Amino acid sequence: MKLVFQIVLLSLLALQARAELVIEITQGNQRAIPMAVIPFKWKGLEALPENVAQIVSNDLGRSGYFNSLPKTEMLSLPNNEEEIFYRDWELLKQDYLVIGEVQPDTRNGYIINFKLIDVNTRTVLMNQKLTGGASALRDIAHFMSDRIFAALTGIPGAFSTKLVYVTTNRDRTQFNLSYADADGAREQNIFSSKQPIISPAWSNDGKKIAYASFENGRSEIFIQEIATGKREKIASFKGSNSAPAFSPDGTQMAMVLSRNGNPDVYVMDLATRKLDRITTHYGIDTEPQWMPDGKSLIFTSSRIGKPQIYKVSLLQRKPKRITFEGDYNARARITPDGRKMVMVHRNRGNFHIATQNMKTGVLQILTSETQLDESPSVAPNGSMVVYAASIGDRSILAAVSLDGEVKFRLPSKYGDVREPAWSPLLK
Amino acid sequence: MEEIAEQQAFEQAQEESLLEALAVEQQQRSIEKAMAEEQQARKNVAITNEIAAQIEAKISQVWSYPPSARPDMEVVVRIQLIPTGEVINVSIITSSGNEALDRSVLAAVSRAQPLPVPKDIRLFEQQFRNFIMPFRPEDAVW
Repeated sequence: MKLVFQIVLLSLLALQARAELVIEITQGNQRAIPMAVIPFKWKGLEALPENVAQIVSNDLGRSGYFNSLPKTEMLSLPNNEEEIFYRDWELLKQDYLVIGEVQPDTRNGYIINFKLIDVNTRTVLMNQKLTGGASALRDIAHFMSDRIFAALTGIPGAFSTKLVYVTTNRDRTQFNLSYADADGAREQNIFSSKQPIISPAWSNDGKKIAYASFENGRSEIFIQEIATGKREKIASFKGSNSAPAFSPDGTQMAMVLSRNGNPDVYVMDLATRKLDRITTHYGIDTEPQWMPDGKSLIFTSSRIGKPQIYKVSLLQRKPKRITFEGDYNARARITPDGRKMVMVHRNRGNFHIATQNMKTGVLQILTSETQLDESPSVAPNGSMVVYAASIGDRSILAAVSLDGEVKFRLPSKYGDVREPAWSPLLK
Repeated sequence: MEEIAEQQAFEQAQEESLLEALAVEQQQRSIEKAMAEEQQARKNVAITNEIAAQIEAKISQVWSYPPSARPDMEVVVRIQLIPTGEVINVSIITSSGNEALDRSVLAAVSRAQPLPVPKDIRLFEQQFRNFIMPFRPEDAVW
């Protein structure tokens, strides 16, 4: 009997041993991908107006998802596949390479050939030829960054997007609505006034900006077409008109009006200009933002004394408090996937940018180096947050990746920079 | 006559008891063999589990998944090894539908080389020459 038992057991073990081995991997890492953008070859006599490879390297490195290898650490500078000595790049622990060359074309423009190479498999993942004039080189570089970013991360790149923000001189006698590339380059003013301009917001097609302007003595809401500069006054009710936010489908605008005494959140139908009052509380309700599905709003309210974020469904109209950590949470923005909220959070007396997971409620503070951080705006691919901060007695623009790992400051030629708004992805 | 018959019966009995002893011995030996084999099989299972855990740890360490990875995604690959632990082939059996995630898995396998393998070449052939690895970014929160 014992023998039989043992034989059965043995054959079970044997069976088990013969079944195909399966090894599950359920833990990995969320860390920046190491990659090298190698300076492109250029045979022309004059210097190129833009350093395309450097722009791509900066774009990717600043996204938080890549570590761009500095040129000084490169062991060789290949421009084509034949020149790549893979052992070098394996030694430098680089996962991907971008190589390329720039050539003059017959019409005073440039032809750029670039390749994205996977060091692990030694294969070419992308091989493209782009052409353009001198003024298009920055656009081409950002376009390359978008393509590379999308291929390697699985989310769209946002390097070809724009920012608008408010700039002022030191005396605060001149206010500008400024427009620039997402990296702060090519800044220009699209509107100027002697009176304050506040809370610029993009339309979802990226063609219009709404903002509040004090040009007529009190805050009124305007919509301005970017391409033509054409402006239209949209709200000038009694009291203050501020904090415009286009609905995701572009047909409505959330705004804050104090026409009935104290500030409340309203939604305006842009075609009919009909107003719909969303909140009716004696506390201050302000800074409305649309949830990505367009069915509810989040806003800041002082109804319990200290500012906190609330969410209100346009159907039920019953505001629900959604922030509970700390005594100051304001100016919330939602990531495009709706998973996280970015806001100003006061921690030990300092104002910083924080994210809150919409499902779990877990709060993470992203910034610590800058002070008086304010008005965060999320990149349309959810990778970065741009915000205004104080350095000394100046107000500047800074950006931080959504995991808080990468931080940088954006240049501006003006004294004070405030209230950045990141554009949607532009077609 | 009687004596002869008695003698025969005695011899037969002796032969039978001898055969019996032989059978018992044989049985004993086969039990021992079975036990030895069982012990070896148990040992192989233990070694296989140990090596599998080492492979899992080594690949987990170098697997960096992209920000678009979600905890419910899965990539299944088949891996072919040679006895030195070098990967001679890795192919995707089930794609996650996310190209960047699929690529991160291939890169992780390639970067983790050489993989830990058993010293026993028979066990290597049975289990590690060719095996399956499902990857799920369960800790993805990006």
